[in-house]
Amino acid sequence: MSTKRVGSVLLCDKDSALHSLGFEERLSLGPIKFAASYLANLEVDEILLLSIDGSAEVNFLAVNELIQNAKMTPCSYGGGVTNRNQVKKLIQMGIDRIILGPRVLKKPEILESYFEEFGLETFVLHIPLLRICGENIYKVWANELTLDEVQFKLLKLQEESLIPEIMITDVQSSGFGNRHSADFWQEIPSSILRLPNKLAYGGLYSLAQSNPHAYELLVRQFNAVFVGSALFQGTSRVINLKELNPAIYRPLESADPRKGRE
Amino acid sequence: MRTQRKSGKPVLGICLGFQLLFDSSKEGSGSVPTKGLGLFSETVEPIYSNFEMKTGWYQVKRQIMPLGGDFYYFNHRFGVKRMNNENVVSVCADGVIAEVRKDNIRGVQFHPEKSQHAGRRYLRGFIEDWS
Repeated sequence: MSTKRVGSVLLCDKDSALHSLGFEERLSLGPIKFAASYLANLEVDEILLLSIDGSAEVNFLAVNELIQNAKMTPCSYGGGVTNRNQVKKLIQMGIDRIILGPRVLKKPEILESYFEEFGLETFVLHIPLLRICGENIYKVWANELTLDEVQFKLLKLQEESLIPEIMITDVQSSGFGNRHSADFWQEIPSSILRLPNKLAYGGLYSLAQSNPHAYELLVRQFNAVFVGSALFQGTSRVINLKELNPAIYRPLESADPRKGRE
Repeated sequence: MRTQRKSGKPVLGICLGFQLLFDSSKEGSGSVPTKGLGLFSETVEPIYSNFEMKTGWYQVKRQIMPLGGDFYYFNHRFGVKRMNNENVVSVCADGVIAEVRKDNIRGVQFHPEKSQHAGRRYLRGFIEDWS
């Protein structure tokens, strides 16, 4: 028996954890070490650290803070990874999986050499999507590739059995009560939904609250769902994972299979 | 490794460390399997026919206690399936071997160091077995 993963995305700039809208409007949530420790205590299935400081450097300071405080929770990192030495160092520091942005698809030979050297399971390919003016048209955020090009390259990788886990992000999500996220996830292109090994991030807590049926459908299609700052909304809104994701946890609870993790 | 094995000191192979204990692996080796340490006789192969990955939390069932088991974190594409001998300690529901043991050598396909409370319990048990 397996469980779908419910993880947390932790955005950061230098050593600060952030709440953000569209990766742009930012509010500090405090030091990464406290945020990482908080998430580990919630027993999220995985912590995914995304550095959004805008530099082309890996944020090793933040990675170190995460690893020191994640208490045996699987950790992934994304942001500024451009060469194999950085990948190697991140793995040596204790990062389990490395997130690569869609621009890496422009140089598939680099991607293949990474996969060959470190294993496909060490990488997650991040596809941040924007819906344009609320229409059913999508664009890859902050990237020169079009969605069609991204899909074509992904299908090619799939044909060659070289496709890692794909992380689809709703970039425009703004957290609680955002109806936009429901539209986004219900109308996402089917060619993307057909890909294997997918994880979803962005506005999922809102979706679970506003449209539980759509959320359950989404959960069936994805291997994992990740939430962001919904897990940091202050003590009055602290949620546990069972509340967040009853679709996943309800059937498992009856047989109590997760008792081993408590 | 072989010296360590003869010395009787405990060894724990994790994930790729588990796979290296076997005869050979088909990972990244083209048509000729890569030679392993040969402490167990099976070959490491893709676990699913479509090369899908096994990433996440999976329940592991001990052979001697089939009615339950802890959840551990797995992240792999290659592994060992259906190994019927006394060295198998635990398996997943999909038939993937989760843990093997022979004398002082133990191997686990999952990551106890990333499996929160269950992992901590596993590692504590490993240390206590040998202390």
